[in-house]
Amino acid sequence: MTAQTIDDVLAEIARASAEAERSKPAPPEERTRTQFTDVSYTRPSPTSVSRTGASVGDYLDLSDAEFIDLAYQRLLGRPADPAGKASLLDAIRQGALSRARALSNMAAAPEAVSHGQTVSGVSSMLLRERLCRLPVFGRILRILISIVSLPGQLSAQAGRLGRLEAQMAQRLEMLDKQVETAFAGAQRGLVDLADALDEMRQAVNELGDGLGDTAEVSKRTGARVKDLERSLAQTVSEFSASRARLQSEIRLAQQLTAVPMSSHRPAASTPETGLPQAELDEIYVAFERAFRGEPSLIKSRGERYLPLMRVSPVHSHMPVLDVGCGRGEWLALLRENGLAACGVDLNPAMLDVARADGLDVVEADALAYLDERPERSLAAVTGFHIAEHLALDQLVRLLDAAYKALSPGGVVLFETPNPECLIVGAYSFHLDHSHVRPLVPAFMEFLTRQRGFSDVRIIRQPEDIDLVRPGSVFAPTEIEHWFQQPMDYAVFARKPL
Amino acid sequence: MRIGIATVYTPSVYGGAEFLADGLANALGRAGHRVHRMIAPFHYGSLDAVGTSMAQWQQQNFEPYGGGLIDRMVFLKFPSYLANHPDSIAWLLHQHRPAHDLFGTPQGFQDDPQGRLLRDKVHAADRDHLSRLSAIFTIAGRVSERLLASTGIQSEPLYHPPHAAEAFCCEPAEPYVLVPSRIEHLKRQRLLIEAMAHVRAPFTAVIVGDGGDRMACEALAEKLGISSRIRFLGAVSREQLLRLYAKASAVFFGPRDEDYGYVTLEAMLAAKPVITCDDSGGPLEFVIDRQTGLVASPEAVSVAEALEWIFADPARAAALGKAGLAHYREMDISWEAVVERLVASRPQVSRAWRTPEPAIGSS
Repeated sequence: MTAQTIDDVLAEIARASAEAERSKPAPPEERTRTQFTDVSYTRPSPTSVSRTGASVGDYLDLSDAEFIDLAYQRLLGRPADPAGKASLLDAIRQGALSRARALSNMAAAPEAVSHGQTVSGVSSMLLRERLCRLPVFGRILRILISIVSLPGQLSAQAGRLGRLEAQMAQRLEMLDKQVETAFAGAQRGLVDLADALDEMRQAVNELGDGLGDTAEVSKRTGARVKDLERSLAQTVSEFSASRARLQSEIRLAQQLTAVPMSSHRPAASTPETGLPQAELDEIYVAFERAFRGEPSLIKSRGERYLPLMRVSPVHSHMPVLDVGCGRGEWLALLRENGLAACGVDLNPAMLDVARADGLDVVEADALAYLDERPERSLAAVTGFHIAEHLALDQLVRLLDAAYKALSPGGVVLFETPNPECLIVGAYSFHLDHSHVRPLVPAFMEFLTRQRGFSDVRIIRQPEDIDLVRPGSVFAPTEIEHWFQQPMDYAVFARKPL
Repeated sequence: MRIGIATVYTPSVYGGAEFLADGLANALGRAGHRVHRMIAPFHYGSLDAVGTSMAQWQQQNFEPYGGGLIDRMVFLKFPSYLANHPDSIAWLLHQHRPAHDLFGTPQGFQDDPQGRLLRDKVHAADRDHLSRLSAIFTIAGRVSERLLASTGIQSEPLYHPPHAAEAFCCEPAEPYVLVPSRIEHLKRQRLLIEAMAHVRAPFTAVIVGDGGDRMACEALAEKLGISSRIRFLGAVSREQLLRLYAKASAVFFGPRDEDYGYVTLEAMLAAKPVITCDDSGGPLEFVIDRQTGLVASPEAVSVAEALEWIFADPARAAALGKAGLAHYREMDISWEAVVERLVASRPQVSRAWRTPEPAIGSS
């Protein structure tokens, strides 16, 4: 074969390779490197940590060897003997023995019985392991377990919320003082104005006295009077403008304090303290004023969901309904992107802000409004940070009402705090007293599916918006994973065609 | 298990060693283990840097790590295995060759008082720390041989597959011998070029890769008047390399005393006969002369004869290639096998525990 043909072969190989590469995008190479500085972390040995081994939870995040040491110490009251430790290690590493099973076996050994120590929770964990292995039922059980374990944490926050209420009351008082100060200022202004008028009247009188002296004097005086009149008119108009501003602020404050935030109504009144609901509402309004986010911030967070709102060409003439639309940040964003949108909320003061922005909003109870809407008339129903304010029956009714009002193929999107982030689940969720309970993503996924929706997707990361690709999963293996989750997530689902 | 993988890297280099560490971490992860990587930079440049790095590793205790305990450490390179952990094993890529077989050569420590002092320090550290490990594996028999010769320590070779082994394929051969690797003095592309001057059969040598010796190799081909029968393709894409393997008649890989050498395995995966040399090291563990390839002596005439033999009978060459692939499959070279071996090896301490006393608690 000649040199010419080998070059043909090589050229063909180069061409075919280039073509193959173009057709498959190379995945980005991700590599991280740990330096020495990152590996110097040490922690006290497990014996000095407060692990008594009394309950099964103490055993779960240890290494295999640590686990065995602790179990021996607790159940047998002595360090592990090398033979026993080796055989246990073998069994656990080969997967022949779960940790719960190992604990249960050890507790049943005669030596352990005579030592008289037990580990609470083992038998229930064994039962749970067995049940969770069952097909279908096991999956449901696993979800239920995560639901059931939440309410205990909620009650622990009661004390902190009491302090929060006191703070709210203080803030309200401060607001009152501010309004008073503004009034006092306005009154002082009026007094000053009256004084000025008196002075002027006096000056006019004096002028009148001197009238007729000379024409020049009269002319000068006329100019002076005109000056004074101009400055008086200016002062009066400035005053009336500031009075109007003040009045509208006062009106807004009165409206806010007078109207219960039904869409965000604190779920439980507190009969034991005997506080009237109106007073609680006032606290809540003050709380919202103190803690709600900037409109621009809220809006930018909504942007990632926009692609999901372009449901289909068929739906393009149907509106997106935002439940609990508040000041309408999300509605404005939808409008900017050419999507028809309307909102419903119970708070007239908030709705005034939305209306001033030219948004289509209705003052109504969301459930009642959805029920009255013609069936199959909406492209999407959205709700930002409302689901966690609802009791389970209200949440189910909301999903059902949305389902009815949605056109087939239409979608729901509910964003809510993400308890997979421990900071949310254990702390920030409880900042808002009107939150009913954190909604675990697995539960929301389950519930939406259970109410008849399909294509359910939990949106944690921006990538989850891409429905073609598999969604993110939450599978923590290290403690720190519980602190690295996004603070909010959304459940997205579709009404089947 | 929670398993730690500790190694060093030369800043800015991503090569075979990094590929191996990544591959091991991924394979352990797939097998359900928790993997932690401990990596520190290592500078070959100065003697001081070697001493400093040794001291740093010696100070490390990886038993408590990241909020828990690590069950087993796997050390890949000198001096990471100076760190402390009661259940440690090594899977050595190589020893610190400047202090061993490269000592006194341009690539090794200099044979002067300072160099000798550090060499002795490295030797002592190797002996002390390697003998304390529960098990010692190496990536190839050649590495084990060298370890035995320099320290008297026994080890077990444990082979791993090249990157994306499943991507290799075989297509009908075109008349060229593929020469894929970095163009370096030790890889001996020059030997192949000299051999081409002796070859009569009408085929081409396709040299893939770049490196310090490329200019010299091109000049040599020019000088020998055989430029028309040699192609230098430079660095090629992965896709292109796979196709070049697939269509080659044979692969030449005749380095001097290679540790392991992915090229041999890649050629076998593409079902191509391998021509190597009897002093090439790693490849000799895989190439069976006249069954899966040819083993020549490192001389131009001998390599030329081997090439002639291959191209004289394309059907026979293809059969050799197929036999090479079959041989690869027999050896069970897979990450799964590596993980199984590394995880299953019982620590010596645990062997000592195996007393007749009945185990409590395990049913």
